[in-house]
Amino acid sequence: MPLLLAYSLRNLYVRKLTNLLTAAGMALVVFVYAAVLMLDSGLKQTLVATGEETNVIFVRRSAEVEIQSLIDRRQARIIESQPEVVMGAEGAPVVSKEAAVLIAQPRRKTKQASNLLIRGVGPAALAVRPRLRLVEGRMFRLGSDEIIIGRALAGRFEDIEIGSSLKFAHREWKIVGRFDAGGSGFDSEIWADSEQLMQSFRRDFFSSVTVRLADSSGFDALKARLEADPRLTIEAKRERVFYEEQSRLLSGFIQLLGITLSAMFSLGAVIGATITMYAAVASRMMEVGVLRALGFRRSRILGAFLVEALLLALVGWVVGLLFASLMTQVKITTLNWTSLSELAFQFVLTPGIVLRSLVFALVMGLLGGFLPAVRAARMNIVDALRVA
Amino acid sequence: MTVLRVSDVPTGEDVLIALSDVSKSYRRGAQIVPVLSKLTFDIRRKEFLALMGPSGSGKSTLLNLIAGIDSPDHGSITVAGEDITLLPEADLADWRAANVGFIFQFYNLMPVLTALENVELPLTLTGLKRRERRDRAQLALSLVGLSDRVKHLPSELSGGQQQRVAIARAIVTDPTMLVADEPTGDLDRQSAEEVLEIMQRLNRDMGKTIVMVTHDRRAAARAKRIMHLEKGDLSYLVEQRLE
Repeated sequence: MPLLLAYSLRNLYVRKLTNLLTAAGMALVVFVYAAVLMLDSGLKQTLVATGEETNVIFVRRSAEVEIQSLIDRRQARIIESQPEVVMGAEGAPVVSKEAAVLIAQPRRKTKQASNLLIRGVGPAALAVRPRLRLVEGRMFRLGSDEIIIGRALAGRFEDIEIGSSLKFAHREWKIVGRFDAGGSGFDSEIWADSEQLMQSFRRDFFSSVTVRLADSSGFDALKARLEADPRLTIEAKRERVFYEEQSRLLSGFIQLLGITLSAMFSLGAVIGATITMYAAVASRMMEVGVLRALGFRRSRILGAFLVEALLLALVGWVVGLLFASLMTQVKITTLNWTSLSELAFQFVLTPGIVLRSLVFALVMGLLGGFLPAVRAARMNIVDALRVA
Repeated sequence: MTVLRVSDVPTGEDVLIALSDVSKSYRRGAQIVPVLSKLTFDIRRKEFLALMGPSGSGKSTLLNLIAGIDSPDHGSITVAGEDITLLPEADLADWRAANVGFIFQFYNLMPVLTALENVELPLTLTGLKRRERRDRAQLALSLVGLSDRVKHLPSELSGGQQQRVAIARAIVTDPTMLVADEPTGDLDRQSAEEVLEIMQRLNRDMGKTIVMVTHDRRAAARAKRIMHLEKGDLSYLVEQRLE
């Protein structure tokens, strides 16, 4: 290890209590910063994962979410008959014509009602979304009042378990299965037969039509042709993009909140680091004088104290990130402000967050260490030596 | 003992340090306190010079000017032909690293570094490899008789031992001159004698030029020449031959 680095490290160790407290302050800020980013990335990952790369979703033009969208049967038929749509085993197109409705259901803990999304799906729904798997019970029978529930719903709402029934739209719906949609937004939904669902709600419109393409590169041509078709009032989006857009409002809020919080906290941490480093410089004036007398240039002194502040920040980063990584065990459920339905997701730690929080911590260290380091570097040698 | 006027100080080709018309004053509040005024004298190569004088006479200031850690208000200080008062800050730092070894009254070692590391410290400014630096630092420590204390921290050493580490640090870069400010001021008599013995040996056997500020007559007696400073003027000079 270079001698000057060892010198900085050992000096940090000498004043360990002060330095630990300072690093703890920085760790707290890193924790908040990383946790917010992790929350945001968890949200995005969940919603992005909801979409399949080769799937295209059709909604009514300018409808942002499915519950605002209406597509009649004639339009749905035109969409499913397009040549880009892949054919299933039985020679039928792999298409799910879906109806989305919201019901209010009391939460188990708070008893307060929250919005649950019921998705009526077509017979090919599982072929359209191959990642979705039944983990308990069985699939609902077509033409029946049976429903299946997403993995993330279990335990969160009253009466949502296999064998029990849910009452909505003047009917009793029997829960016969539970599915795992791989951590995507579907995990927070209830699925039913779309025809049954539409009948019970007395509507004759689908909300959306999702098709699977034989080749994902066929999207642009399909979109251009159908959006220009005068018989249709639809908009085509890649399913992934559609769900990603749903994360924007909430994600924007989380980011704004996170940045505001982090900025305020970090101001405190930077001031803390500045005070600590000023104290370090003051207690080592003689040493600075000696180093300068020995021929160390001002820039080296500046560097040495900056390195010390950066090491302090590095300790804060490691501790903060360590605690933040524990947050990956925490599950969050919240209302997605765009779709207005409940969504469950987790804190997700990505390499990008590791890097960003590192840069954030180092910038804090640099800001906190800068003024004290400048003071040390500009010190008059004779005055500094006189301190001894 | 011969007493000479300042103007009588011999000059010649062997001059290492030449001060010409050097003045220095300090600001104390609104007051300007002159410390040195129009000082001119030479220090020869391989000289061991003791600067004596009462407190406030400016002997430490003079030493700081010669060592390049302070700059005069007026006049020039030429060391080995180079006027160091003209050097910019960063170049002056490089010049000190190459030419000056410091010995302070309170040793001024880095408390967190071992004896060996303290001695190695100035070598980090050279292009030497780590291995060479270690070897040289070892050698310097053995010259001051501390080969068995390399791993010790300053706090684990006596005052005399610390000052010997400081001497090793001062000589490890093989500088042109050593400057010592009251090197025995904080030591008991026995340790002081040891330290002075080492300094004398460095001057006699290795030809090191040494400028030492001291209050202590016994310490000054080790030097080849003694200068007395009074009220910022080199009032007179005592030349004293040893052996």
